[in-house]
Amino acid sequence: MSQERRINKYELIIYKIENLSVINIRGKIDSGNSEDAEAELNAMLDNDDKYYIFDLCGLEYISSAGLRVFLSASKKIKGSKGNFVFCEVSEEIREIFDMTGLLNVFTLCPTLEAAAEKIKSSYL
Amino acid sequence: MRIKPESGVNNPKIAVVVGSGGIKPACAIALFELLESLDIDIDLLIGCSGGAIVSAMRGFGYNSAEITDLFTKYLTKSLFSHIDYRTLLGIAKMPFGRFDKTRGILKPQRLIDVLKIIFKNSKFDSLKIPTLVQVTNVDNGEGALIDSGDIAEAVYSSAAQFPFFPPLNIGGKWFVDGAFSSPLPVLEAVNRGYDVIIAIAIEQQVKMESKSFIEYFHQFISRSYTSTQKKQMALAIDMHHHEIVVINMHFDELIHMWDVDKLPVIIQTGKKIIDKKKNEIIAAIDNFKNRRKH
Repeated sequence: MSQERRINKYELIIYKIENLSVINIRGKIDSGNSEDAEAELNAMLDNDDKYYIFDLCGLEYISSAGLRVFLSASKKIKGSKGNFVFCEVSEEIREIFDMTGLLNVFTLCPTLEAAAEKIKSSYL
Repeated sequence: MRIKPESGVNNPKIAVVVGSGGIKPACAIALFELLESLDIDIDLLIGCSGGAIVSAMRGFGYNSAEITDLFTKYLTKSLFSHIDYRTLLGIAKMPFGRFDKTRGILKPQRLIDVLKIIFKNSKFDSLKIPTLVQVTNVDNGEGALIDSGDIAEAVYSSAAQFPFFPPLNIGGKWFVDGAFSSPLPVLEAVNRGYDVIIAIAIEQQVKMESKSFIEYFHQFISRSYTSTQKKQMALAIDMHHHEIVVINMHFDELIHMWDVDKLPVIIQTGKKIIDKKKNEIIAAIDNFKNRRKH
């Protein structure tokens, strides 16, 4: 069984565009690495920023444990009266959001530019 | 009977949840085959509606080939065509008609009899794998899980799509199709502490234009079930501690509720989709073991 185990790696990169925090999430997140991913993402959210874009252009796979990382981030951001949106979500990841009912919870934008406009509209 | 997973071992406790969808949940046969081939035991089965039929068959001890044979031999279209004309007259408020909560448009006895043959008049305590059957209380709309008493009666109730099929009185309560309250009862597996939950969700098939009352009704309630299922799934994911592997069964061709002639297509589609999800299932189990080791 172990021969078929997936190699799970993820990468989180935070950067700014027009004073907006963008967190680029790449790779795969499942129960093998979700605790690390959650700790790393929460550490990135520990600052004075309230508005975020989660850029998923490089996210290849996410399991239910990985989705909980986003739910945890959502509680932290919304708890501090902030907001966030996702952008560049692949069709596969979108289907996972849909199947699990999270399309009703999260806001998805097609591009980084659209996400920036959307997030700006939430505080302007 | 309160079913809870054992603790203190490295192996995850595994629950398989099979959702509603008429004959289509028979695609779960492919999952059972995969788990057998990998020597992975199922600790709990939960089924709803058509998913209750296939789950209870597996729980009873039938193997994949036997389940296929039973579906082909017994679950024929004739079970779903025995109209209760007095009920129909009653719905239309015509003379000599009668309608109350104990009646349905179809007579249920043939289906109940067939289920009693399949499950050999057995009770839940004779099941080889603990199995729960999702039903809905017709009087208050609340969901309930049956884990005792007559298997055939519980499975019938879980699949009894009211008002087509009448409710059945079990323990003084009138129960109908579990899909009205929980079409894919994953939350129950979460509540009971299972580590890896494999959920077979049957994708609703959208037909562009419904041409009859029955078609329209089925389209509408299928959409309603999907909506309920997604809301419950989001909550289940938020509450769970490990992995819920959701397997969305999409069928390329239109398959009606009890289109038993399509069984070969259903099983083949199940195999194709399960094969794609195999590594996810294995990873969920391996990650649990690795986490316990560390």
